[in-house]
Amino acid sequence: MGQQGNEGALLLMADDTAATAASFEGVYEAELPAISRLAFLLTRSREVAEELAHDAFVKLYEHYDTVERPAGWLRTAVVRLAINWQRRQAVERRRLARGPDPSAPLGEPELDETWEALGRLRPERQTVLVLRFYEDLSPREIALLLGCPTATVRSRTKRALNDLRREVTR
Amino acid sequence: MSGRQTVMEPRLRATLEAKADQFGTSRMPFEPTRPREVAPLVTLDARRSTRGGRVRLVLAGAAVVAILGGVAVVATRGGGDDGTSTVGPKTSTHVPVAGAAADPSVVEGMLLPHWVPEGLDLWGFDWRVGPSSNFLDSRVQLFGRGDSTADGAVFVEIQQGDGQVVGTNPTTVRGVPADSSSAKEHPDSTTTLDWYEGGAGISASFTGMSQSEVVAFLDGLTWRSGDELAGFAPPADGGLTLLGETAPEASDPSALQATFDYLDGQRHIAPGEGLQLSIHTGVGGAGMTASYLQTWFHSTTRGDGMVEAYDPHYGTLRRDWPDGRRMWIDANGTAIDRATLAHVADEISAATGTEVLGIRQQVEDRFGSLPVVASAHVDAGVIEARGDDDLSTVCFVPAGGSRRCTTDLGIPIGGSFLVGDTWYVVAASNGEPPAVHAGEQQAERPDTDGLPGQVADAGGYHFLVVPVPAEAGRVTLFSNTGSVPFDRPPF
Repeated sequence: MGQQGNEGALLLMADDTAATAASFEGVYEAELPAISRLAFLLTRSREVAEELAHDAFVKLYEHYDTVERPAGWLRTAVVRLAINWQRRQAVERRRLARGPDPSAPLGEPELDETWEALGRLRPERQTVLVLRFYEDLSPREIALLLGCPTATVRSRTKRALNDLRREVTR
Repeated sequence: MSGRQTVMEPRLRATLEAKADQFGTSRMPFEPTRPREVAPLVTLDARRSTRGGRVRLVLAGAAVVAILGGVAVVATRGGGDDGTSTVGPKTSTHVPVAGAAADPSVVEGMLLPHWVPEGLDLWGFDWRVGPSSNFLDSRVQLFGRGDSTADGAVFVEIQQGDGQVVGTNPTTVRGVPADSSSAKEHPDSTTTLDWYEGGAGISASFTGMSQSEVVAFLDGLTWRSGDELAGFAPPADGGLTLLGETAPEASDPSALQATFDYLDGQRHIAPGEGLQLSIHTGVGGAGMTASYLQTWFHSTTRGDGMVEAYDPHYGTLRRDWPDGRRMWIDANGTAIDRATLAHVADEISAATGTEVLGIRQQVEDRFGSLPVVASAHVDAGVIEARGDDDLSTVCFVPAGGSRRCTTDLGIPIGGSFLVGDTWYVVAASNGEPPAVHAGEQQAERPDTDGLPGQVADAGGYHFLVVPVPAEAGRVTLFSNTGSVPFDRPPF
């Protein structure tokens, strides 16, 4: 489907790829919760997470006939969308000078404190921690996902954990 | 990542899993025709945790940006030798413009470690001048008995905010709903009360006193003025006195801050493995800091006003002085005890600019000894991606000059080097091609070409070196893993 618009994508799906469409729906049903949660952990906003998750599925929808492993493809897509959003948000944060965690507290002091502290880290450090400690990806897998050397992931994870520890003990 | 887990890892995992569960399941219908846009930003607002109490502002570390004039460049790509191409202005070959002369005096007085346990080598060094995120925009007040916190103390943090406290231990403070919870640092001995009053959110942590005693004390305080951020007036009577305070504008002063990362001979980098030390130091600012008051709250004053706190939970030692000096030493979960951390702290002292230059050179040489992964020649010199399974760096050997290497463990995708009077920003990426843009950090990677530079592809890497025009004081390096702002280095 490549770069054709959404209308074209719909037409192709309706005429030629009913089976593919069914599989796409299956992937959507199966992967939407996990992709949305990952987006939430990366953006800390339910609204943004749902929007980015949807964007990732739209991208998948456009390229579905060429994607071999939709689950992995979706994770890559949503991580990159989140990184772009983080950059944009960083600029907005400077203007508002306020932290953005609209989600309700967990009611568990230690976890709430950790979540707040995580939000104060540099975005790229938050990203490696979420991928490492929530998605349980290895440094090599994270490196492949982000497109950087494995050593970069290792050193960035070290610095991120140090920063996080410093934030929660400050 | 292998190795013994530190206490932080399971706590982080539990937090992420709990927050993911809290998100629940989105059953949003798929609408392929909905316009795909980056989601609008939610309105940001001050909020408070139900415990934890502190009203904290979030400031992205990477979001510290200076505003400078944009540098408009019309760029085109021209062919080069051996896969090398140069990006430059259409009308002329780019010639670096002389910038400010090197000036190491800005790092004069940096607090530098002079002793670490045997077997540790310095593998990371970075520094910056500017505020840290601690207690930004907060009024902080510390109350104690006499001139000490040993027999009971209350640490109050006041921040602008409006909301409603939601918690599991409701109580009443100053006639309004509040919540009581265990403080994170010392849950067995410290409690935090949170409440909103007027236009402010207030947290009061206390130790060595009963809650009823503290509530009575807080109930008796009066505001200095109608602006809560001006703080409470010193108590007229009673057992507690105001030991110290910082105003919002002074609670987070600019300081010369530095980070030093030490690794052992096997260069263990995972938490809990081998021996590791991370040392953060700060000096400067306008005297007493909120950090000082917080450390004092958890400790006792030493003879010279220095306060020290040790957290056995994490194995971290922190010291603060009333003149703004501070240090934080973290063993990253390894078996380095408090006495050793204290020895390290004892040997941290102010350095000369020349000493700092020497330290930087030492670390750059160490990174420069890592194996070359890929390299490319461009007109300006040689760019190298160096590294192994644990560490990576980007090095630049300017034509006719000596090798320079990135020494910040946190951003090994690029480097910023002053060579003579020319400021170079260098990058190596095995993802999408990097780009350097001048001006305020962009929300997203700009569609336009970046600053003129020299590029080359080799060994699966995209290399870029940009001689930054003299009028630019800050640039941002974009790659697929994020964006990194660089200020013009002073030396």
